[in-house]
Amino acid sequence: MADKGLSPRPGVIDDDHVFDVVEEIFQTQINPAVAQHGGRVDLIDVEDGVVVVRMMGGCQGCGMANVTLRQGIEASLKRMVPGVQGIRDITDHAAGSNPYYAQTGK
Amino acid sequence: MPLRLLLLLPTTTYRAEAFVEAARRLGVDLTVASEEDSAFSASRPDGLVTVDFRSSVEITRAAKALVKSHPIDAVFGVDDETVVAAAIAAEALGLPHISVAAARAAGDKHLQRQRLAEASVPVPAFARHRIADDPRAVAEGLTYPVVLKPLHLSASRGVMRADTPAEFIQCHRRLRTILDSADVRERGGEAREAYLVERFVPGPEFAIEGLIVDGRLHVLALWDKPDPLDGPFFAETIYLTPSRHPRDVQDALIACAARAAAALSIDRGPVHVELRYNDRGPWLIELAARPIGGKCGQALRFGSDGAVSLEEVVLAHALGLLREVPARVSEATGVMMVPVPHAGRLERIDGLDEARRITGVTDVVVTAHRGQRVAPLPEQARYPAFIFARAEEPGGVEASLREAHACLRTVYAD
Repeated sequence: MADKGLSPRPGVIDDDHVFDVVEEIFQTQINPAVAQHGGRVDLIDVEDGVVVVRMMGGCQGCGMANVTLRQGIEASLKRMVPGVQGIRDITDHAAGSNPYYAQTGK
Repeated sequence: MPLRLLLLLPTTTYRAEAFVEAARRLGVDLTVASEEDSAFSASRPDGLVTVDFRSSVEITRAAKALVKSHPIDAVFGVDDETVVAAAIAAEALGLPHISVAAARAAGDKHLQRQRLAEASVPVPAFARHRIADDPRAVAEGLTYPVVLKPLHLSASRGVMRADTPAEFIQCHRRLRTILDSADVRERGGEAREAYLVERFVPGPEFAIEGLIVDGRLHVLALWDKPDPLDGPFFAETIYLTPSRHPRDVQDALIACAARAAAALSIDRGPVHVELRYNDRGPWLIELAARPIGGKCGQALRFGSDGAVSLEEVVLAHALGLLREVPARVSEATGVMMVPVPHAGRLERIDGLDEARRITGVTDVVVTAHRGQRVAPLPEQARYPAFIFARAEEPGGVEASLREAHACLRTVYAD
């Protein structure tokens, strides 16, 4: 069985398929996890294997948003979906009004 | 197998993204330790750990537990508190780092003053007092002007100048309230029981961004602070580099910083040093065993194409990946920490697009969020935004920063 997220043509990523697989993981694992901090992460698109997301709620403007993104979401997706090359955050973090961890110190 | 970095990041830091992205660019595996849980701590125990930075026992236990499954090659703390925690973890794991004693001395203003004075590094005359002691008795014996300082707070929070005994008593009352605030109470201990009183040192202020390699200070940037810092409070605003001051002044400042680092036994890693200079020469105001705070590091780029960040430089050194200390890009650069006009609940900052269009401005970053309670110094030391600019000369950078700042209007909800 081919890796999830890879198209039949070797080396070419099927973004649509990756999107479907990632969306399911967002619904079942990612968003239940970030919901513990009042957050939500919307899957916007997959472009050449790069997962495009927007962070909401407690994640938007959170001082640790990048840590969640890289150490949590991206690492999990790369492990679970071989076609995922990376993750891109298009969130306007400055517009966040209720970050879980506010940036208040040095 | 890639190297692995244990990065100690407090959840309130401005600098999580800069350090995480630096680690990614270096191609190392990363474990982030914070004092609060991540949403993914349970599913990514190799990448995210929770540890109380104030507990030596817990830090040691967490580091030893982690290294059983994932060998660690370096430990790095990004602020004063986590530098001490990083020293404890590194000592437990037998990794290169400054000693725990050196980290503690750098993070305690009184202990630092003592060490520096013993080594004949020029520091203001100082004395430690208990906040509970009668301020009238302290005020009577002082030679004015003086500066009151908390022992552990950063970014000039709680720092006030008093020119008379009456002002001293007013400042003391205000400092006592700050030391009794909720976040300071959390720290506990001496942090809220004592304070420092020191002679005010006149003269322009500077900062040195340095990296100590094999005991030798390499200057990454020498910052001018063009706005006078004469009190009554000490809000940092503009940092510019390269310095416009004469070479001999710069050399004296660098030599003073190097002596201070040596006196504190800081023999490796980043340092951020605050100094003043007057007709008696350089004065060491403070030395921190970490890079510059806030978003300010974003102003510094290194390498021939400017592709290397300050965070990459210091992490590469911690991991043993730095073959030589890279030169900063040659153009002038600067940052302005946007001050809080007055206390209130922030609604928004207007004029951002206008500020970003000013010639030379490279970025305007908002760090405060809508609805956040903000207050100016000395009560708080939070900067709602940072402005960055570049130009051929420092004068051009300063002009761009001031013009961009004039575009910004802080709007309050109340």
